[in-house]
Parts: sequence; structure tokens; C-alpha cells
Amino acid sequence: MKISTYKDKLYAILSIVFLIILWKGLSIFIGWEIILPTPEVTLKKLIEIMKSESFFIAVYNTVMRSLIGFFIALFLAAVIGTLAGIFKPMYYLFSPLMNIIKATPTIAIILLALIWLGSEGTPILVGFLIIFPILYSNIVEGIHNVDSDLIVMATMYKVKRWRIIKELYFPSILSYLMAGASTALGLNLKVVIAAEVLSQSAVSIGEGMQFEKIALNTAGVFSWTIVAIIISSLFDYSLKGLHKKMEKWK
Amino acid sequence: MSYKISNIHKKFGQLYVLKNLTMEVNEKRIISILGPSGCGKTTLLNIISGMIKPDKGEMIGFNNKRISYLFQEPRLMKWKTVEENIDFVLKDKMSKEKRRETIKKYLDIVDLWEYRNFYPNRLSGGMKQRVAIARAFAYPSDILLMDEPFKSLDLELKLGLINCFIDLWEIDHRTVFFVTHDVHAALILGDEIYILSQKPTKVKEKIINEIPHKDRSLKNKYIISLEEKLYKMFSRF
Repeated sequence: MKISTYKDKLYAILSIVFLIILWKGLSIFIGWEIILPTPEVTLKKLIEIMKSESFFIAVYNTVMRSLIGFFIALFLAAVIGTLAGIFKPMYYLFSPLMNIIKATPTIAIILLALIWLGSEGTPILVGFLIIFPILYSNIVEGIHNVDSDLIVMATMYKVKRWRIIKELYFPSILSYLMAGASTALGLNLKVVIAAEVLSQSAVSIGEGMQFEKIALNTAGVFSWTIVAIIISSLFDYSLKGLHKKMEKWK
Repeated sequence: MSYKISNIHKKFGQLYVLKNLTMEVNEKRIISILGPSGCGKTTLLNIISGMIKPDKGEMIGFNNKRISYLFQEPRLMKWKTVEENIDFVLKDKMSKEKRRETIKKYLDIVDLWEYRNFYPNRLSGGMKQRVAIARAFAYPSDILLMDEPFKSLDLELKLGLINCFIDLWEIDHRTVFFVTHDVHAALILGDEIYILSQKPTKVKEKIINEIPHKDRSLKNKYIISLEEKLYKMFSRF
């Protein structure tokens, strides 16, 4: 077991090294910083950005926005998704709304949110609207996939209803929810940053990117991108850790 | 004390499933109920358990009886350990110490106490079914209903599980209704064997198996003669 994880890590490192070499090669071949900056220039710029006073505020603001949207979506999806999973009429009641949300172009949501909410709230609302249907359908699916044989078993053994919900429904839904949450959290960060770029939200990763783009400083855009990638992998890593802890039986 | 199932009728739509079915059984005996596939054996179990009501007829002695179950599959929760799976059905029914004691008692008999902290996906199919058997006995019940729990198992595993079941039953006699279409299992377990007809189902015949459990084997002459008798009856369907 240990050997294989060690090997896995080695492959991951090799792949990153390969990507950096490829990047370096391409940037030499193109030979124009504005189109593709070299890895060293990007690294230098990244350090410069990280040293700046507003860096942590920007990261904090963006992370907070995506977490707020995420948790609101998670909470509402848990409540509405559970109702829709259990009561068929609720499911049909919500299905047109979900389909509309899913089909609406992200950019339309951003523009409308800008009109309604201004630059502070827009990224939160946009992120929320993108991930809510994902979490919702994961929970509905989780409820529909609860093993009916187990429910019959528990009912026949006269297990109390609330314990059936807590000890049987909840753990089965959790698997589905965690799978959805991991997709949703990463996607949400991307959407929040896109909305920040367009709405010029004060001191944020999106705003940072926009500034660098206006200054035609491609290395700066790359640096902020690296920051976003790192945050996204941290999100992923902590969710995976949580998932492992919650599902020891796997 | 005895249980009486008296003139039970059950129809699903136009389909007559049970018609005039009558059984009278003494408590703390194993009752094998043999019948062709789809003859309404599971419907009968559901009526005994009170999950469905008969259209006509009387169930005497079943009121307020506690019932435990053995299904075709083990029906264990994969996110709970062996011990937690049994504890799940015992909670609210006895104190914590009593639960622990009960679980230990029955897991010891089925030889799985050492595996109490294992999750089901680390156990073999036979071990899982043994956990289910321990759960059925650990649950404080008067009646145990079994719906083909030894189906689709190879012969060795089946005999192993049947022996495991008998070991438990010898220590802790319950009234068992064992529904099956496996003649061997019905003979080795059953003290009384009811043979059901095709739909609309009623009791066709009743056989008493007088051999004590420990002497029953598929090589025993008496068992062989009963087996022949049963096969003859089946061929007349």
C-alpha cells in the first residue's frame, strides 16, 4: 500500500516537472513575454504579488466569497434536496426551476447580479447559482439510491424512525453529497473568480487578474492563476481528508 | 402455547395468492414451509409479520409478538461494523451493558466475536450471513421469520450456515417460520414441514420430522425416506 502511494506521488511530481519543462520550451520558442512568459519570470512575479500588502486580503476575500456561496448552497440543497428526494410532488415542483437555473448562461447571471447586487455580492450569487443544482441533484440521487432492502430490514426490526434517518439515510446520502461537494467547491472558486473579474470586486483574486491583464502583464495573470490553482487543490485535499475520515469503512 | 393461522385468504387485484390456508403450530418449533416458486410464501411471511393484512381469516396468537428476520441477503449496513450492525436493531430495546453482553453471546456462538470491529466489505458472504443470523437471535423476539436465507449458496456453505443456525437455536429456542423451496434445508431444519400447493395457495400436506436436530443428516435413513416422500409430492404439482 505504502509503496504504491509513494509511486503515485513520484508520478505526480514527474508530471509537474514535465509540464514546467514544456512551458519553458514553449516560452523560449515563442520568445515573447506578453504571449507566454517564462516560468522564472512568472515565479518572480508570483513572489512579488505574494509579498504585496493586499495579497492576503485578496485571497481571503475570494476564498470567503466562494465558501459563503458554497455553504449557503450546501445548506439549501440539503433541505430542499431532502424534501424533493422524499416527496415526489416537491421534486416535480422544483424541477423546472432547477432546469432554468442550469440552462441560464453564466454570463447572463453575472450581468443580472451586477445590476441587482453590485460588485460585492455578485460573485457569491453567481457561484451559488452554478453549484446549487449540482448539490441538489446529488442529494436527490442519494436519497433515491438508499437501499430499500435495508429500510425494510430496519422497519421490520422496529427501529425508530429518527434513527433510521440518522443512521441509515444520512450515511448513504453522505457518499453522494461528498462526491458532489468536491466538484462544487472547485467549480465555485472558478466561477467566483470569473465574476470578480467582470464585476471588479474590490481586493480579490479576480480584480488582481484584471489589473494585470489591463497592464498587459501576462506573467501577473499567470501568477494569480497559480494562486487559484493552489487554493483549489487545498480545498480538494481537505475535502478528501474529511471524506476519508467520514467513510472509514471504505 | 400455539400459533394458529386460520382460513387465510389474500388476493392482489384479480390474482388469488392464498386461499383457505390453515396452519397450527406449537411454539418453539421450527416450521419449514415448502412450496414451488412464486406460490405466495413471502406473502404468507408478510402476513405473519403483520406487514400486510389478510382479506379474510384469522391469525391467532401473533398479536404483540416480537419478530426477527433473516432475509435472502444479509442486509448489513456497510458503514457500520459487525457489532454496530447488531447494535442498530437492539438500541432502544435494552441497556448498553445488556446490549454488549447479548452481542458478545451471539457473536461468540457464530464464531465472529473477533471480527466485531470489521466492516462488512471485509467479510466473506458466508460470514456476513452469520452476522445476520446472530442479529436475528440477538434481537429479543418470540418468532423468527426466514425467507430463503440459504438460497444461492454452494452446498458446503449452506450446510455450514444451517449448522450455525441450529447451534444458536439449540441454546435459544424460538418459533421459526422457514420459507424455502430447498427440500434438503427444509428437512434438516424443520420439525414440521408444510407443503404448499400452486396458486391459489393452500396447505397440501404436513409432515412431522421426529429425528432430533443433532442426528439429522442427508444420509440418515429416515431423512432419506422423508425426502423421497417430498419429491413424490412435488412431482404431482
